[in-house]
Amino acid sequence: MAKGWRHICWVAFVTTWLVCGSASVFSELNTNQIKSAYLYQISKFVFWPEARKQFDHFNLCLLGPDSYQGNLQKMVGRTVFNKPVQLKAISSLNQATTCHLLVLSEPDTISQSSLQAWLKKNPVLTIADGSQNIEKAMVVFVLEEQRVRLHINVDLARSAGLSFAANLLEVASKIKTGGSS
Amino acid sequence: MKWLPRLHLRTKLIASIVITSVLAVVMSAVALVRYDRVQETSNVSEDMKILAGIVANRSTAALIFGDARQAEANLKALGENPNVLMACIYDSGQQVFAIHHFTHLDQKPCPEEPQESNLTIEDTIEIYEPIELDGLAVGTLYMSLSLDWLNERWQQQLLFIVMVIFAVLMFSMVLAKYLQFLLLKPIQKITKTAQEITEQQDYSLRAEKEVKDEIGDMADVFNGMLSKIEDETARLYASEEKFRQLATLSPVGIFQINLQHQITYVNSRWSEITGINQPLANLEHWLGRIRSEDRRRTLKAWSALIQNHQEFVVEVGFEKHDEITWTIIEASVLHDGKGEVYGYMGAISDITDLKNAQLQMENLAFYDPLTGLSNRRLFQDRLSKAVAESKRRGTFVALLFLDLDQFKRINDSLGHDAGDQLLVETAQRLRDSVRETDTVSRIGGDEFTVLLSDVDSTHGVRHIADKILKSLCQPITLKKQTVINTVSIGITMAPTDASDANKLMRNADMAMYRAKAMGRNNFQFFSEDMNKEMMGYLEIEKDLRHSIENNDEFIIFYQPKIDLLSYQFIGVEALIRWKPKGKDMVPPDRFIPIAEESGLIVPIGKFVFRRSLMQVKHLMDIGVWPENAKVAVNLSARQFSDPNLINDLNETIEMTGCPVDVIELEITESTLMDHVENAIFTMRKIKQMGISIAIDDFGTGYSSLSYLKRFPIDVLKVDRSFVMDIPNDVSDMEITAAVIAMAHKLNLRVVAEGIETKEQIDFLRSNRCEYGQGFLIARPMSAEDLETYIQRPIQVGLPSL
Repeated sequence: MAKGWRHICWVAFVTTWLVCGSASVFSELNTNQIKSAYLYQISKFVFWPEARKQFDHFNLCLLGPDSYQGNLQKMVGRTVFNKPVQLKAISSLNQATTCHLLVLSEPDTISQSSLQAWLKKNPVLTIADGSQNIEKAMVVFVLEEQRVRLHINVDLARSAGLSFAANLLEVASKIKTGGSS
Repeated sequence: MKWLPRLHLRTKLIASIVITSVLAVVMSAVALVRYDRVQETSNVSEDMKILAGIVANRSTAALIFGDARQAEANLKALGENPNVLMACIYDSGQQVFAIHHFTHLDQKPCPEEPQESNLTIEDTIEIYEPIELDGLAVGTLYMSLSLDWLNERWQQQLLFIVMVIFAVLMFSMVLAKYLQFLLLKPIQKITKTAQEITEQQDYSLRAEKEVKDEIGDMADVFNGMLSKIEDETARLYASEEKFRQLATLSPVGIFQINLQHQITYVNSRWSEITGINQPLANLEHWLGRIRSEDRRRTLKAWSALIQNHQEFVVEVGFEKHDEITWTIIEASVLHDGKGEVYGYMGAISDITDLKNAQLQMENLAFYDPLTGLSNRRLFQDRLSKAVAESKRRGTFVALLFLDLDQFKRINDSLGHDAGDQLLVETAQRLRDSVRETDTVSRIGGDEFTVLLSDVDSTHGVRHIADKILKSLCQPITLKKQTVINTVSIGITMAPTDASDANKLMRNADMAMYRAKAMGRNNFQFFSEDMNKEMMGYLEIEKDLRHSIENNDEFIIFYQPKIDLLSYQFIGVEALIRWKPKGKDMVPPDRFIPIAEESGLIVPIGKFVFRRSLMQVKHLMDIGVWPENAKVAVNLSARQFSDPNLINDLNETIEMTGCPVDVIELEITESTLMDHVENAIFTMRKIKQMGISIAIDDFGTGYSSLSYLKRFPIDVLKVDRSFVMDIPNDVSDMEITAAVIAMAHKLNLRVVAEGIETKEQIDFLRSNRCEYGQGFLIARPMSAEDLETYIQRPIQVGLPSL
């Protein structure tokens, strides 16, 4: 009972902190912290195929060096669709088949065509920074007017068998779909 | 609310219908509007909550990702409802994150912090919808909704309600008007009929029955009541008409007097009798015309009627030009329906003819025309009264019986004229010898009586007797001859010797004979020994008692009576004969007085009644007794006053089986006059049984006409003493004629007794006397002889018809 109560308080605190951070204390937090928090929130607006929800863990995979400067570690211990988050550092796409979320810290190292082909087989949400990576990452973090904004490639996600909640799309500053954006 | 019952039924009816309808409409409208408002508010709130939920859900990402513009864009979706005033989104720190106003007017800021309750409805509807993500609250959506549209809706509804109320008002007015027509018209018709009846007094009118409801029933009941009143009125009218006819045709004057003593109604006969013509005279004026002698008595009777409601019958005379109109006035009280006295009603009949006949008869009957002295009848009456008076006052009465010693000799030698002269002179001397108050009477040919009242002792009586003897023995000149006449006097004292007039007469008679026996010209006092010795009283009484035990010593004889016009047998008088065992027949006038005095007359009378009924029944059974013939049985005074009389009569009639209509009871006039009211009562009882009543020995008592009229009798028997002297005594003939005339006026039939000669029968026939009885017709006879007598030819021994 006591443990449960503490857990709820902690979650409330973190959420508050995140939201406040995103709204008003944004400038004082570093971008990696924000993106890390966004990452966790985004996972709530994404729909994975049912089979992928049967895994024991929610796998957060990092391909390449840790561009979040350790902030991803903060997600471990939290849950997405009641599964505990597990952080995996992988070295190749082949290791990413069981991932739910794949952070591409160095997208340039991966060919667009092989990634897209791989994604058609593996329903994994890819995330990268920089608008130029929109063809490789389904969700791209972009800095616009000093704020972290989202660009979303709906087509890519659809090809991987994923879909987004409309709410998420509404807050995206750019959406790529049907050959347009 | 006192005015409420005073309102017209019409007004009440309309008001109740209109008020009820309008109230019903208003109440249901209010209820509907209230319900509509709640329902509408709830519907709108529900819709808005759903909308708020959708917008809140949609705003999750915008809130999480800090996209205020997107959040505001989401809020605009709430503008679908034009009543939304403003909407805000708070972040999890309860700071306003986004706001949108939907109206340019009255742009309020968002409430400082979101409320706990998610719905409040006051002037506006306010909704707080939490924004959640994965079960965690990430913010709150606030929206406020104007209620102005509700007020507009209310105004529209109000307008509609007013229109409906107006329509209902119109409709209910029309309905009430129609109902009023339906309900009130029949009632008004009944009222109108009642008014018409009151005004026209026409009870044949009827209320029209238009409906079959309770008002229709009321009309029926009303009409039923009218029929009853109409019947009653018709009956009353018929009864009044009958009364009017009766009153007009009546030979009797009829009058009605109110409580103020005003004469309110008289018929024409009343005016004829009283001679008062002006209508509506008052009672005092009328009574003032009564002759002074009768006035006091009449006024007393009137005041008894007025004060004690005692009805009366009075005989009064009205004086008019020296002539007296004799009348009988009868009056009694009138009661109204509630039993209250409201006046008096009465009748007056003219009995002048009757009265004159009576007066004439009385004069003839009670005075001796030769000497002017009272005769035997008046004397006997005075004697009875004097005896009664003496008993009351404790004094004595002396009765002197005088018989002239040589009258027959003088009459025979000097003639009737001289005899008459002697009698007149004797009367004068007797009158001179006594006080004014004493009564001197001539009771027979040469027999006189002197009645001395208020006597203290025999001493005074002796003195007067001496005085009489001296006075009468003075010489008297008759036809130029001087004669000396003497007298024998018998004296008896009442109540010492006897109290009964007949007995006193007998006593005095006995004493007089004793005086004659002692040598005449003297007086003798009566003594009881004298009586007993002469009458053999005790012996007779003893024999009577013995004979009553052995009924066979009494025999009934029957003296036939016939119709004097046709000579037909019409009945018999039963007469008793007595023959004690081993002795001679005793005449009735010897034993009947003793039987009367000893009370033995009652069983003897019963025997006579029973035996004669049995014998007549036998004659009827063998077919001899003619139809309508009657058997008359004498009823003595003792029997008549016997309380068991009616029972005894009934018993005997039942036992013998003899029909009542053949029975006639003869009662002497003096018996009836003893106690008139009781006598009337008893006679009525006898009449009710169906038995006829005859008054025996009529003419010897003082029957007042007013009493005679009230006696329920059928027959008068003229006393034999009147008939006996026909045609020698003119006054007796006049009396007989007067009695017959009076009896006819009273609708009575007359039987003359003691007919012995053809002259008598002729006289009676010429005076229309119906029936006769006497030796000339038939002597009393035994039952066996009667059987033969009835069957033989009728004219035998009688003057031809």
